[in-house]
Amino acid sequence: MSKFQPVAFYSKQPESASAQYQLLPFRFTQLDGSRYVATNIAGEYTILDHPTLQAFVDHKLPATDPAYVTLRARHFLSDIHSQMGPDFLAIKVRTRHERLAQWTGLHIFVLTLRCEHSCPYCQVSRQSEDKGAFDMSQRHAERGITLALSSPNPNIKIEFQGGESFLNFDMMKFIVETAIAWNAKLPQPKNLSFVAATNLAIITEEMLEFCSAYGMDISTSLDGPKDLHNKNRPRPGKDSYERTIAGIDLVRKRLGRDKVNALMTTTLASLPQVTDIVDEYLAQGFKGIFLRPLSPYGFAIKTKFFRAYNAEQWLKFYDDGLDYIIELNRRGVDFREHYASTILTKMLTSQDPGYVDLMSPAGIGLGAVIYNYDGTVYASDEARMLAEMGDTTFKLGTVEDSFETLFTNDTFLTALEDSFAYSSPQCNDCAFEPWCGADPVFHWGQQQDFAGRKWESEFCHRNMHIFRGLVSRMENDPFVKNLFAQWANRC
Amino acid sequence: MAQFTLEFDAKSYSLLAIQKACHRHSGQASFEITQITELSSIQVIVSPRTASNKETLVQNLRTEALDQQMREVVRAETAGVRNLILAHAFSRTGLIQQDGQPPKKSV
Repeated sequence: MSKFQPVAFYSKQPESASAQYQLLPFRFTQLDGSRYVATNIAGEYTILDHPTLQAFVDHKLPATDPAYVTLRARHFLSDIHSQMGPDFLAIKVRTRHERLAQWTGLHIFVLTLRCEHSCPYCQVSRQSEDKGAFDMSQRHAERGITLALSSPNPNIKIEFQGGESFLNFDMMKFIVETAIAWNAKLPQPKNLSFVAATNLAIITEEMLEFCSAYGMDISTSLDGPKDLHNKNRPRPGKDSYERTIAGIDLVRKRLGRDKVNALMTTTLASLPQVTDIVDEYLAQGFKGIFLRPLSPYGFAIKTKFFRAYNAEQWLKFYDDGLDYIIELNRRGVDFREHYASTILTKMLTSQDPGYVDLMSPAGIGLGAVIYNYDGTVYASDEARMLAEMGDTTFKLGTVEDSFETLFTNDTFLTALEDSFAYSSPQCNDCAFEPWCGADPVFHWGQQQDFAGRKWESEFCHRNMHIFRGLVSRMENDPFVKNLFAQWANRC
Repeated sequence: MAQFTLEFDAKSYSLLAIQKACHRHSGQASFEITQITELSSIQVIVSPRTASNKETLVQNLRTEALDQQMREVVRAETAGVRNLILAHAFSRTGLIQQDGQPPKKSV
């Protein structure tokens, strides 16, 4: 018997065969007044008008309709020509969730709360430079390393944060060298990597030499042009910008061009300056920017910075910035917006970039875990920020606890379960759910509810707006569609 | 805006679809939903939270109810294959444990 189908099998279905298809799981959400975004269980999407959507669900879509071919190709239906659809979908779903089986890969050590900057939007309470009481001890560091190396994940990234992480440089050196030594003794050593979050203001040759020796990455803060940056990030000498730029230059010379990344935070003063901010990143040789709103934690709340602008104002800032970046690319400048790139990777590929805020089950604990300077362990960076405000809901335990005890913490598991978007009210109907995430820390902080009431959730409002904006831009402009495909596949 | 009542035909809409449509608009109004079996209808008393446009709210609710009903159809029709896909996707990953079994030990 031949393994091949007869020729007739490959001919087009006659119109009369229009109802001979099976629906595969999908969700739909209005894109605008006339169109819907439909996503399948693996997050692939298509755009349908309402009559086509209704005909499709009613099994009345003719096989000759152009939408039919797309729906079949993207596994929204299976028919005689595409009976492998469910198998392909299963492989894509498995690929998208492969991180879950690996468990926590990012382990953040808060080396100190001390910082010589006094940024009013800072998300952790900073202390003065001379308070040794806010530094991580060797005992806590050793226990943190043991826990990090206990994760089943074969790729462990250790990130140093503060305060200013280099104010406790001795402990940074100890952790790097100890982690490498202990890792080498494991039956199956892990791939270890290191990154230091720093404002670069106090970086020295000795520090750079150490970072170079261990291939460390540097993550710094650059809020925009000199005036804006120095206004946002005050320090003695009022020279934060100058020090940051000099530091970026030094890091590139000593560690390599791609070893330094920068993050910006949007303040009220940033809102009218998005093109200047993007231009500053271009001038400093960066290939992209992450346009970030203020997070509702720490000093941002105490100093009322968080409520200084509303969601609509930030979204206009984001849209203006994204459109400007698209125009730069149209003129031949290779530059991208990192948040859009992260989402586009989820939209247009089967990969999940593992961005903690856009993971479901939530990225807390699963995507990252925090070993605080005092030995407490938190489920995310935002969780320790919340704790600095007096709410320790997301404290997993202390570094003295076992790995199993920390990750079977009742509150942690309840938060994961309650916020799981696949089964969360409204999210479970939303076409954008495969691209979105659960953020129980944000929603707990804002609403005292792990899942969050979506109709009043700024997280939901902001992301829905961005998802719709990305889809609309792609649908309306072939150049953007091509550009976004490149961004999605470079993440 | 004053309280008003909407009625949906229970032969065309499930109670769940109406509940979900109302839930999605909880920011604009509160709702009291009653199923009247003898009239085969679902009655929704709408108490708007703000002085927004009544016509727009009614239109949005009816559109959302239709969408939710269509979602019910898709969900019911694809339940079997959805479970099959998820079971297949997560087989051999160690993520599915028999009830009552402890999680896998770490290294």
